[in-house]
Amino acid sequence: MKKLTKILMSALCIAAIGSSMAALGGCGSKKESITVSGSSSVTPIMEKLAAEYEKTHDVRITVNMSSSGSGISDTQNGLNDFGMSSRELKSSETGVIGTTLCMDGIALIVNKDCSVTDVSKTDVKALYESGTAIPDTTITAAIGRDASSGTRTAFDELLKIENGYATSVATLAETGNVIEAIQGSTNSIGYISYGSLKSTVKAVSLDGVSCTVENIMNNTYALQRPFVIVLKENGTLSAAAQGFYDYIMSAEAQAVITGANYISVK
Amino acid sequence: MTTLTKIKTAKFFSKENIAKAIFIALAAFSILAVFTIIGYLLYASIPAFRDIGFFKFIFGSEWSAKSETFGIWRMIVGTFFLTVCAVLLGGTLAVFTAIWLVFYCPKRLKKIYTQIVNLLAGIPSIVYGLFGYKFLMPLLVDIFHPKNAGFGLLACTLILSVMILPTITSITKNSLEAVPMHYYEGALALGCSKNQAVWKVLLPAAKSGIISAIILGIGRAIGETMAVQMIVGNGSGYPFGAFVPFTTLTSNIVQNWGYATPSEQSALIADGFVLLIFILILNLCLMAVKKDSKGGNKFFSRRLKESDQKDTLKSYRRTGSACDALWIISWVISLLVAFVLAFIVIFVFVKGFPHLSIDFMFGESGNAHTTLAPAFVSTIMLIGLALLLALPLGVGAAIFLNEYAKKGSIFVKVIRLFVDTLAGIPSIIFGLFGMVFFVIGMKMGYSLWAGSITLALIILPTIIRSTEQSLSEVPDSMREASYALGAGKLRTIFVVVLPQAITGIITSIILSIGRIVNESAALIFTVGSASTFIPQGYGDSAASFAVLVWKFMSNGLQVNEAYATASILLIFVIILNLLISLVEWLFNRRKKI
Repeated sequence: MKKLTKILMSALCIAAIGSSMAALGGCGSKKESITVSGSSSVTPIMEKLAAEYEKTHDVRITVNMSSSGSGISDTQNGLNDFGMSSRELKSSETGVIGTTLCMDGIALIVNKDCSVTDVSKTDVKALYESGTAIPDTTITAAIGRDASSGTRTAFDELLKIENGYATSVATLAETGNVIEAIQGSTNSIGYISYGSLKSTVKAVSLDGVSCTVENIMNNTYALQRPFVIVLKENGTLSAAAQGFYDYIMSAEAQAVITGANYISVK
Repeated sequence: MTTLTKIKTAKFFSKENIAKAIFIALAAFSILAVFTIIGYLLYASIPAFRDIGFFKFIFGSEWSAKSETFGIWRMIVGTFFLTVCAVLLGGTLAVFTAIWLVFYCPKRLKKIYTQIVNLLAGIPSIVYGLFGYKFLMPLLVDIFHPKNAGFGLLACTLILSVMILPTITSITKNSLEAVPMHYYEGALALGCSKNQAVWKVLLPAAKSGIISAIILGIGRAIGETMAVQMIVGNGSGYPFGAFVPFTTLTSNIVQNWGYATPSEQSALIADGFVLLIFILILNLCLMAVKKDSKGGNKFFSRRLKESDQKDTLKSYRRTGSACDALWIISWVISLLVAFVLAFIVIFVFVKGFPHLSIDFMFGESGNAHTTLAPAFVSTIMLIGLALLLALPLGVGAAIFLNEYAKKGSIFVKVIRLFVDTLAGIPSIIFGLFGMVFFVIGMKMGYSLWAGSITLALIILPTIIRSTEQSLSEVPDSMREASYALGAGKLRTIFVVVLPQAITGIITSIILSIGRIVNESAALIFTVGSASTFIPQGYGDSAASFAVLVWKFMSNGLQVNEAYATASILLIFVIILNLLISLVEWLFNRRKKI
């Protein structure tokens, strides 16, 4: 019996030592660290840029995905080096300044098996505002995003949806959930960042204008908004963060951005 | 100072007395923890109650950050409807399953089936969510052709009833087994068939146990967060219909917390506070029910044994009553439950295994390529620190309850009540508390510190309960023998009693690890979700496996990785379950020798 107790006790000790070693092991290589947080729409491109930057620089860039709202408030509260927002800053959001990183379209997406290829602005607006199905189509339900989403704020502003969504509209927390939900049902329409568009779902055109880089660039596609980097007003960035900030605003980074289906503004 | 007082003070500050004081303090910690949680959440939600008005907040039906109007009536109704539906379905299934398990299950299957129920309890909430989102919702759409993607009451009810089933089943099973055998024999002697005896005599006799099981199930259903928030759809309507997206108290918190204007934050904490009040009321109900059940007849306290069933049952098989139909139903339901478990596990494995590779699991993680290596480290770090904090607290409290406290004293009753309360608080409330108290209040930021301390609170009741149980099983003769040999109380506890109770402590450690591995809601709020790099210390934000599943799922580009991570989680859960059986087996064998 004693033997068994001893064995178990030593197993516990080993586990405890192991975990503390693991904790300490991480401490060995302390690189300079940069924290970026905010919009889940901006996160994919920010991760790509960070990966590129890390190839040539010895830094650790942590990209925390949440929402535009919390990206901005994190910056206000000094919880990050800079924030990401997928909409323009509001006048009520004080103490921060925004710089546009690039432009992004908001793609309306449906299931691949859905026959719909084109929808009109008024129909989409009616569907989100009052739940009326889009006439002459199989689309009866809309999927939106949560209130703190920059994509939603931009979408609502562009379509002038002012009084919230109809009760039949599901509001999901992240871009990915919208894609997954659309993949599972042929009767729903949703909206996501154009850069996050995958081949698993289908983008439909709006009033006859399809969602492409060219159409966003020449302003014919109506649903577009800027990706904004949020900095603290009158604040100074750390040397490492300044380096990364300079990089993402450089021509080199803009090439990466264009390559990922976002629209460079430089 | 005279010599006498010196001796008196020396006696007062003796090792024994100091140790006793420490054990009392450790035991009282649960009371402190519960009061701090309630108090701090109330404190943090006062601004919302004051600005909005209490009644407007409870009965208002609009939640809009834009116009700063916050009312949770919709969410209360949503939570209520969902809970009622889930408990009706899940409770029925669970009671049938428990009856089958106790009375009809072939003896060889009994252990395996108990494992199945335990495994069902061990599947992380986030995995249920993933399953519901990717399998159940599309399936429902195919069958019913609703006007949306399958969000709403029906999908939520189905998932939630499976989630609360193990809780209700295991408690119902315990109370059925505790029904005195004489009831059964008496019924048979009066000419009942086995089925009649089971359904008409034994089931009513276990009534109060079943009611407390269902109350616990309600608590679980009300507090469930991550799975529900994925499937519920978070619409702005009421759940009047099988496919209307609605919002619950918990999903509202998770979804809106990101938008952190101070006034909405306070309103969300108030939302959590209302949820906590519901849970506390349920706890009181539970206490009342338990009190009732104490009045049973003590003459007939022989518990049900395997041999009783084997010997008495055979000759009394008769058919033809309505109870026989129930017998068939219980077979069908328990087979269904086993099938559902197997299906969920296989579904996740089939989708996940093809995407598992050594590189994905242990390769170097970076922004270009996120691997699971950081999750391994951060999960181990969380388990290590949480256990380090909770074990001394929990074991100390258990020692006080079993070794020092007078049996049945009011202080002990109060401590037990608070330990039970702590055990019933849903993890989202712990998350909110950890967020406002540790992350913001104590300025820890999103960090493994904040997460580990929060987790320590979550696992504390498990450790206290399990340790206390095994301490109470140590025979008094051992303590007496130790005293007779001249050992002090402290020495007796640490040298004689604790080594005997090691099974319970080890089991509680394994259970706690399971709880930590499963946890997602509380961690998202306290540790954040940074998953790219191996954390460099306890000050960093990090993501455990469960949080990683949520993250992979949310960014929309890595569903395969979500499945792969979920299958690793399931493997963990299965291993932990097997470990518990192994520990029990080892120690049972030892006892026989």
